[in-house]
Amino acid sequence: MRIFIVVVLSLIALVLRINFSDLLSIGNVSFNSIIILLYFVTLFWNGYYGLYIGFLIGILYGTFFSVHFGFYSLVFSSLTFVIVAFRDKIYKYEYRSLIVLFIATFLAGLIELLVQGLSAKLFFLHLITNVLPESILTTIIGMGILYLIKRAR
Amino acid sequence: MKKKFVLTYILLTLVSLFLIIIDSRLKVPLNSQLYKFFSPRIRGVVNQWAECKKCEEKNKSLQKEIAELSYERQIYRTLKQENEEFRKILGFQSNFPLDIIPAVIVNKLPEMVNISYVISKGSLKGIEEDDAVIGFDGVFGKVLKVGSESAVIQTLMNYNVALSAIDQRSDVKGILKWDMKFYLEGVPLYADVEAGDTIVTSGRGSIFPRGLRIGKVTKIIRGESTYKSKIEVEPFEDFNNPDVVFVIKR
Repeated sequence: MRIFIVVVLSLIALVLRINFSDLLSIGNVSFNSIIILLYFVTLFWNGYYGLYIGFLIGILYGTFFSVHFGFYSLVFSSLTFVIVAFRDKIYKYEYRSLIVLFIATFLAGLIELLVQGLSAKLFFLHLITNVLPESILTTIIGMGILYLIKRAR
Repeated sequence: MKKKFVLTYILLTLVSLFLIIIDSRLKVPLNSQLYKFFSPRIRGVVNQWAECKKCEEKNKSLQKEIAELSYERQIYRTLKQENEEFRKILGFQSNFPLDIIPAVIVNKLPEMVNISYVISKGSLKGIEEDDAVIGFDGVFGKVLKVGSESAVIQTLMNYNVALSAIDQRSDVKGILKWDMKFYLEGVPLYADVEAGDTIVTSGRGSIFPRGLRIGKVTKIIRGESTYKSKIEVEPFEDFNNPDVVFVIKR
């Protein structure tokens, strides 16, 4: 049952990220639904789920963008690995733990920027105007989800 | 961190790297190949879903229509029963059709002027020449020729058709003919016919039973030199794109 829910949530996160990120954005800043999913699945359910889902979502996500196939699976599964590495060092029900979500989103944006081969000026411009606000927005949404999880608990 | 988890991560990383290496060596990137493969299929599923939604809506409206028709049918049965009782009392003979055979239109005959269709049922189902044919909305035509498993239907849109008809409201009689439009001819000059009146079959002749809906009056042309008026009739039935018709067995 849990696997089924994870698969459905993954598809929703993927569709949100690919098709509705413009609609759900604030200004030009949208949140990263895939990282949110990976973060909560990994911390609250199972690290393996996060790893496999990260890999599979990466494969699907990669079909929509002109990066090398397999690139996003590498990124997402690595991010899951990072989250798992932090898992023992944080208390997942504390809001402070969301710093890991922030780092993961920031890293994902940073890696995406790095492979695009931008000039230093453009790189920093995008980092400040896109990656950083996206990480903040994702963390804020993560806070909302954590609040709901705590309430449900 | 568990060793097994680290191994799984390494394995997935290697697979990802392997995919990246393969992709970098291909002329057409793997993701665009996959996109080409999946995109039409996904679109197909979405289209099917949309079609399904349409079907659902149609189904709902049809169910509503069935409910309405069912109610009308019950009333009709009551009226029919009453009518039969009155007929018995008055000593009338029943003229209700024996049987109605639904048939699918399979072909349209390529005639220049008159429109005829071929239906999928013939003499094996009991269809005979000169049986009346109706559509969903009104009189459609009559059976012209019959084969064992098909029959030719001559529609009312035919220069040779002359059908006895009456104004349902006033009972004024006339002959319905087609001359690029439908006209009720032979109607007395100042007969009680008004635009919007329903024209139905009169029951005269051996083909059409009385009371089948034909069309409504749209225009009344009263000629100065003749003593007859010509009534323009707009048919209820669409003769151009029929799917199913009903043959009335006599």
